[in-house]
Amino acid sequence: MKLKGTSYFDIFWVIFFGSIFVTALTYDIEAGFLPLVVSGLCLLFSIIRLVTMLSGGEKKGKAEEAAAMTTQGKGEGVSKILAPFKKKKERVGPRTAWKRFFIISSWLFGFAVGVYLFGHLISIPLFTFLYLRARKENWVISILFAVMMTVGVYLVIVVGTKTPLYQGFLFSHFVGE
Amino acid sequence: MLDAIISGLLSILSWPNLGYMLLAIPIGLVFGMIPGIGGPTSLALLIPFTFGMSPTAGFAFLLGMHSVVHTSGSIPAILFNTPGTGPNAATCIDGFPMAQKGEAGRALGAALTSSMVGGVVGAICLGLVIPVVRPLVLLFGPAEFFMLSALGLTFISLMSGDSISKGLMAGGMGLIISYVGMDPQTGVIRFDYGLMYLYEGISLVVVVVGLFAVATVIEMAVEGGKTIASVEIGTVLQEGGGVIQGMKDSFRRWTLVLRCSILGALIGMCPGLGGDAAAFFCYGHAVQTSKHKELFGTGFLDGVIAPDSAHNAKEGGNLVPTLAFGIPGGAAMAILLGAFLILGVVPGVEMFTKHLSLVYSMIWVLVFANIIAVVICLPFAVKLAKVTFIRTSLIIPFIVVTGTLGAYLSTRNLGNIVVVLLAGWLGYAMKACKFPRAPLLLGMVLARIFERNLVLSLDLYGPSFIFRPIAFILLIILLATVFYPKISKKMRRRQDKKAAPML
Repeated sequence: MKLKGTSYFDIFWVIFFGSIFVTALTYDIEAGFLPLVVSGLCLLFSIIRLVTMLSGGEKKGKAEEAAAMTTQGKGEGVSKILAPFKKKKERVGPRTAWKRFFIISSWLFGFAVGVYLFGHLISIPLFTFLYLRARKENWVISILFAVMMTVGVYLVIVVGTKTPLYQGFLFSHFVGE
Repeated sequence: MLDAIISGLLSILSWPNLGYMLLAIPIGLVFGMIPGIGGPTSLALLIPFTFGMSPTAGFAFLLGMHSVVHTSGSIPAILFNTPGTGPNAATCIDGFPMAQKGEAGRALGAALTSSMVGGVVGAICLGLVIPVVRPLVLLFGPAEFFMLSALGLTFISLMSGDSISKGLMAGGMGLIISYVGMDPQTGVIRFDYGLMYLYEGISLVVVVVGLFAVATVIEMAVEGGKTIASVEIGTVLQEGGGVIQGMKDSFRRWTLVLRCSILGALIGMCPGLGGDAAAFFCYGHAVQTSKHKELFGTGFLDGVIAPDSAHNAKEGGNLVPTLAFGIPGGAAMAILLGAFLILGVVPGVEMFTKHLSLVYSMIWVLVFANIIAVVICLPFAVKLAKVTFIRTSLIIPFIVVTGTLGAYLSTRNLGNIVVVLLAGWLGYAMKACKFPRAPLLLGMVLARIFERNLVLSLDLYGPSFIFRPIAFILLIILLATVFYPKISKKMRRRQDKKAAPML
């Protein structure tokens, strides 16, 4: 019994529904009835799924289904139809995938922190410019795209819809409203 | 009824509604051509910008954009064998071989024309169904709407792909997310965990942006590659001629166009079947009814016309259950249903009483958007196709900025950005682990309708509300939806076992 990437996600579901179920127990029957029923059922499903996954049951089921499809000729027919346009994707190894996942997640997290600290109108050009430079875009495109994005956002949101954007914690805290 | 049709037309042609529609069409065309973005992501990105718009303007903008996404998706499908959206995959089968034979222009002309006709036929089908559905919807009360929302929740199993348990879990998560915040019946604040931000609940728009737009960004970054379409351009780009010939060809095959358009609209009316099914079903129909079956797959024009007629017609059909019963046909319609609630429009009885002219304005949007999109695409199709080769390094910051900004603007709360990121990670994990995301949205959209109508039904009629005639019929349909796939699967296995010794 070895844990794989997808098994961790199945564990997440069990924990999620488990915690919701426990929280729902604290509400009175009127407010907690439906959340209790939904989370209880989903907790049951997620536990069954996790156990099935860990015992290798799903793979077996899928193999049986694929065999049945081929026996009926369905599998062959579908693959024949799909063959002309199926694009061969470059296979990304799990280590590279995780590395890339953490890099893009850091960018997203950094942008969120940037918005909190500096507000939209500073963090948008900053994020766009830094991201493009990190992806080895040339200076002209990086600057131009960052400026265009900021001007576009300003014109559409601030001027067009007359909605003020978030100024940022630092700006409003130290410089004042 | 005629008044509503005319006032719907006039409201769409009035300013600023017309301007919003004209703005949305090129946006939809560009989004449709970029593989990986597609209908749900583009809707997720644009919904936050409809805040403050009137319902007519909001739908002119959103439907104008969404109804043309598949039209332009056929262009890279034909030229580069890279479908812009899911349903365009069926166009590749014969479209790309035609381009390789030097008939790219003819294929484009035929595909765009049949898309346009399909879109218009879909809109007409929606218009024709309204008088039939209207009296039915007016008969519905809380008990019937409760049963209908329960039936809608069972469609989760249809949207679940290969694993029903995955779909049910995703749907369950959607239901639970919608329970966060104040319970309208009891006033109890649920699942707030001491956070002020959660008192008012989690906005559907924020979850949608994260689940689709941010997840797309993560996917693009993880998969790598300079452009999304990683195919050789070859010489097909130079073959732009023959567009007029293609247009003429699709009009010559008008029976096929009409049949596939009507089939597409009918498939669209069945929640859970989706656009991919409509396009492939009509491709299969074209093969079945053709005298030249052997030519399909080798660059045969009928193989382009059939799926292209279907995927736009499906949108009109898809709007029937969405407008009448609040049951979305697929992920894009679930997002659109979220937009309904944001714009202050409640699907169901109100759509056919208070907002009938809005319904007809939607039909007019479908008609105009499909025609205008093709007018834009026909002369510039080959040049527009180069959009497919925009570098991912440019697309990623655009989606991140637009998505998070939209989410922030939905309630002007900074906490929305955190929820967007969390939903983005969840969406990516769901996609990577092959969990369907549409059921989560369906659960979120239907949960409130489900809970409110259950409480109302119990108050009005007691537990016996399920025995009201229409509610009972719906209960039977619900049970059939749940148990029929299981029974048919068992029967199929039994037949296979019987047939096995003979092989």
